Amino acid sequence: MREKLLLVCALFLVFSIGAWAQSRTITGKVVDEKNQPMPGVTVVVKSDPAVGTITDGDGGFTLKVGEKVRYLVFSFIGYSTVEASVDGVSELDINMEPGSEKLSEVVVQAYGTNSERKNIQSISTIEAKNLSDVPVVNVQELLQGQAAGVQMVGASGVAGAQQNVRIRGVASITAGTQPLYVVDGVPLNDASGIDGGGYTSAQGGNALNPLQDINPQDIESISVLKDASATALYGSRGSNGVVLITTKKGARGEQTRFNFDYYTGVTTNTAVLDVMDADQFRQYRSDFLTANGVPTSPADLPQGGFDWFDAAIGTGVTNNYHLSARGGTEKTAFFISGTYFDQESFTIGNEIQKLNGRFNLSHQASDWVKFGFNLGISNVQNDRISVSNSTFAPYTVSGLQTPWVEPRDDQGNFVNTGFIQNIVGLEDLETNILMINRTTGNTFVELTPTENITVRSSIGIDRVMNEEQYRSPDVFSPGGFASNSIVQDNKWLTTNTINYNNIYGDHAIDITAGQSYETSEYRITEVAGSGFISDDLPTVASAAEPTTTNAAISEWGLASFFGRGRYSYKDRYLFEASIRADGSSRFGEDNRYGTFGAVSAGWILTEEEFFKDISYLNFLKVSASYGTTGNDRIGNFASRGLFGAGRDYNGAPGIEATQPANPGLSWESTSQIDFTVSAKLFDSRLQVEASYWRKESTELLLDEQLPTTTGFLSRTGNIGEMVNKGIDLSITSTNIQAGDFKWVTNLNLGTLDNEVTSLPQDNVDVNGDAFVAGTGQQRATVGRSLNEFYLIRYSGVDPQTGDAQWLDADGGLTSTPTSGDRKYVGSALPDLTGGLRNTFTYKNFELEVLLNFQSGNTIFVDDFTFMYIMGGTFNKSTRMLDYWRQPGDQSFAPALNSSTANSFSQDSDLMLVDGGFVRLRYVRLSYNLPRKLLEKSGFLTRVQVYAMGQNLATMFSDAFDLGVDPEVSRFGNDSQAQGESFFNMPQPQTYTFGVKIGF
Amino acid sequence: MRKIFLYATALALITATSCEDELNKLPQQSLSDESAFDSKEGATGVLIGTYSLMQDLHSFGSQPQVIADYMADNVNFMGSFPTLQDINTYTAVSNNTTVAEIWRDNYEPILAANSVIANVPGVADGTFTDDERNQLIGEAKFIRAICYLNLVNLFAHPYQVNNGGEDGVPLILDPFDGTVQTPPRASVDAVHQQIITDLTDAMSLMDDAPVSSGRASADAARALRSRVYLYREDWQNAADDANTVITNGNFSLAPDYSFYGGNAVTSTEVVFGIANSAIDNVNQGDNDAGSGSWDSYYNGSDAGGRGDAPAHPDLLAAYQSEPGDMRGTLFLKQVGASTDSAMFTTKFNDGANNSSDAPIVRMAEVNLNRAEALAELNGVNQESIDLMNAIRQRAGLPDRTLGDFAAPSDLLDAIAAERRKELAFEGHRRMDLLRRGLPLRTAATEPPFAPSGAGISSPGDDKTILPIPQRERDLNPNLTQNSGY
Repeated sequence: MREKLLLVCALFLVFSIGAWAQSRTITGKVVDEKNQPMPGVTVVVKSDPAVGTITDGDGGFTLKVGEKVRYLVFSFIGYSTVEASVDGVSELDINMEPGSEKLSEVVVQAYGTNSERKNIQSISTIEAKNLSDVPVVNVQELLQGQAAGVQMVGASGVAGAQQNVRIRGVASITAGTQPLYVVDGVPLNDASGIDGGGYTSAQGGNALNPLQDINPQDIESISVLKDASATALYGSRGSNGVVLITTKKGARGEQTRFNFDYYTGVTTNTAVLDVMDADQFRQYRSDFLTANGVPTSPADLPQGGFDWFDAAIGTGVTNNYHLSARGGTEKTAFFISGTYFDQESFTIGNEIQKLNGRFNLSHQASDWVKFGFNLGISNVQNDRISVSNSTFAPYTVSGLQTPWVEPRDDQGNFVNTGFIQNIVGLEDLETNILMINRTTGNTFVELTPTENITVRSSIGIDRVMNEEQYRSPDVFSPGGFASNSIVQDNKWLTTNTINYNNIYGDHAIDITAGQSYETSEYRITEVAGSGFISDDLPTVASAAEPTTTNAAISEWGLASFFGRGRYSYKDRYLFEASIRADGSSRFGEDNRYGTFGAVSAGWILTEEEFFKDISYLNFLKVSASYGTTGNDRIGNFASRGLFGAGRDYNGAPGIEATQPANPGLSWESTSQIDFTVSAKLFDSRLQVEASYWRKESTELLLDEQLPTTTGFLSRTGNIGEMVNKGIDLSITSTNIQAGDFKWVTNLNLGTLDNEVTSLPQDNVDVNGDAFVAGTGQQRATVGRSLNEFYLIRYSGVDPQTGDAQWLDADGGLTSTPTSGDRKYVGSALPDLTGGLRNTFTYKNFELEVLLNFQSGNTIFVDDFTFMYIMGGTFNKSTRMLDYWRQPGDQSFAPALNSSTANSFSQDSDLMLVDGGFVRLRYVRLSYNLPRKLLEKSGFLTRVQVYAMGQNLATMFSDAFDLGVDPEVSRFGNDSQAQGESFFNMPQPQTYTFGVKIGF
Repeated sequence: MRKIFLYATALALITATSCEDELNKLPQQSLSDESAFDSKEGATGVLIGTYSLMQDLHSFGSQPQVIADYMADNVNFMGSFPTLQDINTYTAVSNNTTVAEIWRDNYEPILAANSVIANVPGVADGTFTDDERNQLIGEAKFIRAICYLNLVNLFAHPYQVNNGGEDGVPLILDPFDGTVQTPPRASVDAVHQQIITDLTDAMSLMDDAPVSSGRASADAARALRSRVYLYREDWQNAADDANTVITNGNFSLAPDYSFYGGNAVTSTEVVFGIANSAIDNVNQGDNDAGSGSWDSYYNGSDAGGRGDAPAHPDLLAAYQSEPGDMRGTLFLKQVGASTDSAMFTTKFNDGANNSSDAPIVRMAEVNLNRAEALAELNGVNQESIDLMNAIRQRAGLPDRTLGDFAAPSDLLDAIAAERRKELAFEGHRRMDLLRRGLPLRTAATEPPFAPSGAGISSPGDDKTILPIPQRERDLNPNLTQNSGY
């Protein structure tokens, strides 16, 4: 197949020697609705948007274009885009009208682009405006509440933490649920094949964000590929959706423009848990001991006290500086930028500094040869903290530390507080630094031997180098401990495509064929040692006892061939088909190749004569698609039976069975069907797009749980089936447009219905339904969602006896429930997520308000299984002060000497709360300096000042009312362990002030 | 121009054709199932890996042994970790994660041992002699036996309850072949019989002395079988096995207590122990130590430990009962998990690196096994007293004589008291009480930190044994649950 493809490719090349176009010059002037000249309007050639310029101070422009160029496109923020014919014209006068309507915007797709009008793939595009306006740290935050069917869970308030993004539900149980991220054609490394790996030690559950090395301000557009017709060209990696990120480019012939952005903000936490203070705790503890036969008074207990939450949580400060330049000469276009970002989180000892540089350049060597590169480099310094399930984690410690424990002794020296460690001392004395250097980019050459043929070849890299340095001082690790690890993940890929497009009367065709090979090599080197003379010796070199030496390598490769054909008839009947064959090193040789593909069709009804009469209907398109994609995110060697090496015993080398063999292992496959209607009504003031979709995932890679009497906990197999279905809806409405005032509402939402339809029958629940256990609290069960909580049901404290009561399996009350009394009590998956944005514009002021919401899910708050322990010295929720004292009491907790005092805190639906919420994600008020003022300056093209508040309010959230942030992901994006919290750091509340200057 | 095209095409062709070979990526840190057993070195590596599994916290890395001391009256457990505290207060439930790990991490070495036993005879390696093969199989059988003993002690009632007729643990004797088996629990007696069979085989396959320290030997199998017989009240066999170990002379009582610590397995005192080193704390696969290990539990937080497991006041009082007992000096005042100072044993004294060896079977126990068995068989007798005196002399205590014991029960009580003081913190106390029909705790020996256990901790009482992990019962419906869970 490959040979044929190349032969065809070569034939094209050999026979395609065309006549190279002559060029001509077009001049003109752009004015606004009041006939005022408009500077700064972007003017590009429609057929080659890389050729363009912007208007000067008088609204004038001069552009050299090819002889065959037929249309120019004029665009400006806040104005309707204008398309003008230049057939036989060398001078143009353009009138621009305010409005948000977009004419034939370009949609970025897999290995190419299409016009929005003719696009029949399901793609959510995040507009450049919404990208650049919101000061976010991580790219994923831009997706929150902005794209229908995309759910984003903010991981936690930890700087640099990973976000959990789901596009149209979850298409996998174990093999990863995160989309594939592709930056300028380079699929990013995500260490998905490294067992227990990733790039850093998790330090309690939160992995690092794979996108934190990309500066959001460098991004031109984000395309979220949702249906099979959009993702099939990513074949074995498309099942969870694909996020295409295109960085900013310059345009040839464009005058050089500079942008300077600065913002500064302060950050605090949103939710906070209520725990006892030292006096409350002493009183409670002495009451508890007394009630249990050890007469104690508060004075008998340790004195002193410390507010650990107060010490752990404060106010963080963020500063961001960004300077960029873009422009071009006749032959060369460039974009160059540099960004410095510094964020101190609201939590003690957590800080992140990022330096990003980007240089994108393209050069038109001749009429038919273009080459260039896109390069992003970044350096991140992250002062890390542990989170969640770690007794070194500030937030966890604050919740659990006995409140009479103080961080310093009488001399003022930090003390070691034992298992629940002294975070104040830790953050002061400990070193826990992560440094990331990442280079992502590609070089390309693009040949256009005729106007209809484009051959493109590119070589891309994604080189990640993470270094972690850790040093624990003598007081916390007697003698001291240090470790250092370096992880490298070096990817390179080559992609070669050929595109042919032409129009024959009413027939338009566009064919792309290509080949790619991609490989990544992961290397880790780590050392650790203990026993230091002094805390002043920070590195492992000074350790007396080397405790770790490790160096490991893991590689994978993926070879692919793909093609796509588009055909349209009379610009209204649209057809598309795509196919991709992927060969992956992760699977056994017999199973190595898989083929994926999709077909789709669309119909622009408004092009038909019989629709032309409906005056209020400007545009109506229906489309449908069906296709298959895969998911290959399993361990690099998941199909092999393995004996892990490096096990030593008393100086001798050993090996240990780590994985049972599974020779038939292959990728997961997902078939998806999609129906979409998009319409523009009432002079395009109302735009609606609605999709119904259904994804059926089969041969799911599943960790089949094994009885440990096999010697293994689990093994991977292609054994499950799951269906996701839902509706994506996006509505944009210009509610009011009167004079200088404009009000636009954008609503997008996605519903999700997830059902596990088949699992191995080895484990069945009491109803006879097969299930796979996720955590101790949740499981995936056939006929239910992937994350169904399975718990005993708490009823309350018996007012007469003071004993806690639960419901048994039959619904009767019991004080001694057993595991047989567990029931399905809720799902961790929300069935509705979305966002609502309102934008109000008045003259040069703009107010933007974004709400996002989700509902239908529940959260298991594991914090409470610790904070509700009646005995012991962990700090407790203040709700525990409300314990039963005498008959008739309606209390929260049972009697201190109740037989249920020890079982009260066991896992039950007492710890389960509704996960729904509405969050005021941000409010942004901006002011653009009037154009006249700018003109006077002689060089300024844009000055905007803005103020913004993020996560200002959380409403309708039961979790939030209990001090728990409803956006939880204790286990990161482990799809079998969703919706659980264990002292999850709450989302930050941020107040930002910023300025954007263009000149 | 045409030339450039052809170059470009050629380039694309080259990059495309080089792909195919690039899809053969091999793991670099692991061997495949097939290559593990294709040589002597590989097979030996699997056995060494099995020992490495036994270093795990939840098998012989202290957790079961610490639990055995704190469920009884040797340790005043003050750690805050709920799954451990629940066991301390007799309120554990069936999804206690520590219990699940104990189950799993004892079956892992059992399955690894099974694969050594099953595969070593077929290894096609001409340099692999029969003696070498027998040695590996013998060690694997020893490992399988001691892991089953660990399990049956914790998850089942002692032999004395219902004469071994209570449910024990499932017996898995073959390596995992891909087909999941769901066997029911074998009786305690059946598990004991399997342990005895394995130990008997192990004796015939191995030399009396170990090939190197920290490894099993025929004498180790004999000493362990003596313990099993003692637990089954098979006094004659217990006495005989102990005697063979003593007379073989490969092992003998150490002159003093300096053998504890990082080199304990090299001492003549330790018949079988797990050798630990600083590098074993690092997570090697599943071998989690780190925040939990012998050194971690038994050291205060100021010494790098968790401060969870200081001595019970009742144990300290036991040492005070006879002045000059040097074992009473093997303590240091350190910071406990919930008190500023508590007495911690110095038997495991490397809180920084957790490198102390675990003495699992040692000569003091072998002596006391024989002393006890002979007292049961023959009443008050000089040899029992001599065996006990050897241990008392080392502790700096005066000899006992026949005249000190009016009745056999006096001698048995004295041996039991000696056994407690000698073997404290080494994981013997729980079984030593239960098999003698005694409660783990009485009103007088409830731990001050978490008073509980009195009246509910006699042999046969529900929560004196651990629950079968819920996860395992979910996956294997043939597993019955212990009463009370």
